[in-house]
Amino acid sequence: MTLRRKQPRALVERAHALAHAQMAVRRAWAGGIEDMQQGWTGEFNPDPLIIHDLNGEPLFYEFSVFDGEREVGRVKAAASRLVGSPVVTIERGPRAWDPAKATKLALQAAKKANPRRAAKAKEFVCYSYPKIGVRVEFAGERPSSIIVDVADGSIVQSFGDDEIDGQTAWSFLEARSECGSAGRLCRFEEFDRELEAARKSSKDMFATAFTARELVAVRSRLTPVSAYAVALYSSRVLKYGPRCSPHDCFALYAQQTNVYCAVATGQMILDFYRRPFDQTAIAAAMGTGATGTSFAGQETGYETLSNGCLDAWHDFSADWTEAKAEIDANRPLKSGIPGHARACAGWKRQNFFLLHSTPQRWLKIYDPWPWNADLCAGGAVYWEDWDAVTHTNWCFVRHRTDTH
Amino acid sequence: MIDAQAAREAAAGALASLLAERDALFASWPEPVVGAPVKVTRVTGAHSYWLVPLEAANRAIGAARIDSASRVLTIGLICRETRRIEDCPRVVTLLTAEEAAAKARAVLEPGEEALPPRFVHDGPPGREAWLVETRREGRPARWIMVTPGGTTARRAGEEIGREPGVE
Repeated sequence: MTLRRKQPRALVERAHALAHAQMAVRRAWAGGIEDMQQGWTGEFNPDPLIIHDLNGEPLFYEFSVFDGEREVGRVKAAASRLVGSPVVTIERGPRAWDPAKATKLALQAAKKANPRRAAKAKEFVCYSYPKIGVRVEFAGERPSSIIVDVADGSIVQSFGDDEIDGQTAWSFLEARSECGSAGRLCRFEEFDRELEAARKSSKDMFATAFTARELVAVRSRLTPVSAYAVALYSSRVLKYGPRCSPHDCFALYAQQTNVYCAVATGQMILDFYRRPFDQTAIAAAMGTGATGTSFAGQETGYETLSNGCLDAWHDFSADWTEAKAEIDANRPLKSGIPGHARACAGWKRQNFFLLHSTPQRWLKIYDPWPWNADLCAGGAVYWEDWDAVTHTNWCFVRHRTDTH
Repeated sequence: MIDAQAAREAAAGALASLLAERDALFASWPEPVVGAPVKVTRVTGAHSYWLVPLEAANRAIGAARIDSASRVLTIGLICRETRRIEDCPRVVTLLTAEEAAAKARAVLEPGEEALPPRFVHDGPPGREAWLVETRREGRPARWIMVTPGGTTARRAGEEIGREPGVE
């Protein structure tokens, strides 16, 4: 059973939480996060819904963002530094439940459960993250309370984070072990330093609202510039090696004929492994024909041209994590789309995204198209939206690990 | 289906993000601006996506591909040598329609008549080329695909990328 704490520890003031919420949302907008482009530059309601922890401490301030009269979404900002991050979630759309109705529903449930005792709705409680309930207190000689779920009006019956999943109440703050609290406070301090840096460098960040004309000018000023900035994206590209400060290491070559996409891709990958061959030799080793190169031919080409030092194989269930893992291991790979081969030498992923949405992910593609007899003249390098493209296969090319 | 202006705005947003995060792809280039979008169709003629040029010093140094729902499929460079920006393509299609038509005319066979070029993706999105369809006695004869690398031709109506197991 969770003990109620009389005094909040590490309280975040409401105005401070609002500033963190504004910074998170407006930077995500300025950084071009796709889901944040419509309406998120609107006005924050400075009067949040306060959600308490099961132990009684303020846990979250839920700020609503309005575009005119329309509620665009809500931001749950930490009310306690012990949460560790100043902004916990950003959710699109209006709240799915109405606080006034939920309170009424909770009082009705309390009266039904305990008809002879006077009941009073005390506060909103995050009783099993992210579930919210209303704490209703009963007066009398032996004061007690119940928690009623805001969505369905049911009374929460079981308590403790060791219970099975479901409608079990547990404290968000108490479940986060004491030994980790120093780290969370330290992390929150980093965000505070970033906030202070932003206050000095981009005052626009904390404006109440923007006009359409201001928005155009303000975007570049809202992007992170300080040393404390939390990156909007994570990414990695192939490097020469793992030590010190190696340079990026991958070169684009154009396919020298209109059917040499796999061949030119092979040339890029073989060059990375210091196995330089011209495209004629690679095409011969891969058995490239009038319409292109077979999968088996590509594998044979990599293996024979490396004298068996490289192993190559296809995976026809290409997924993002596999490509990311190859790049993280500093290995290029072939990315197959219907009828076309390209080399992949990097990944990038969005770090901030809306709750229940998928972060945007990209691959850095070295595309040998457009073809050109001068392999230094054609081709293109670009970031490709992972979810927008049909991926048919990967070809992994790795050093053999056995003796041969 | 979005219009050219919406495609341009989507490309501008993606470009602004890349520049804001100081993406290495554009780090060594003069800051580009988005140009006039070009419609890219399937070889069959249906609209597929927009190709939006990223321009600097009156050259197309990069491009963004924007699909019919304003989604940025790709964004990146089409030119390599920062120090020779004057050698970068003048147009995002690499050749103008007139240049493509002239290259196609050079490979016409006797009795063959060329239709105006269409900018298509020959295979999956990204493999752009100018398609010049030819006719003989009023019937479709060949598809001549024109890129700066050269021209290739095949029987009209023959789509590539449909042969399983070959790239």
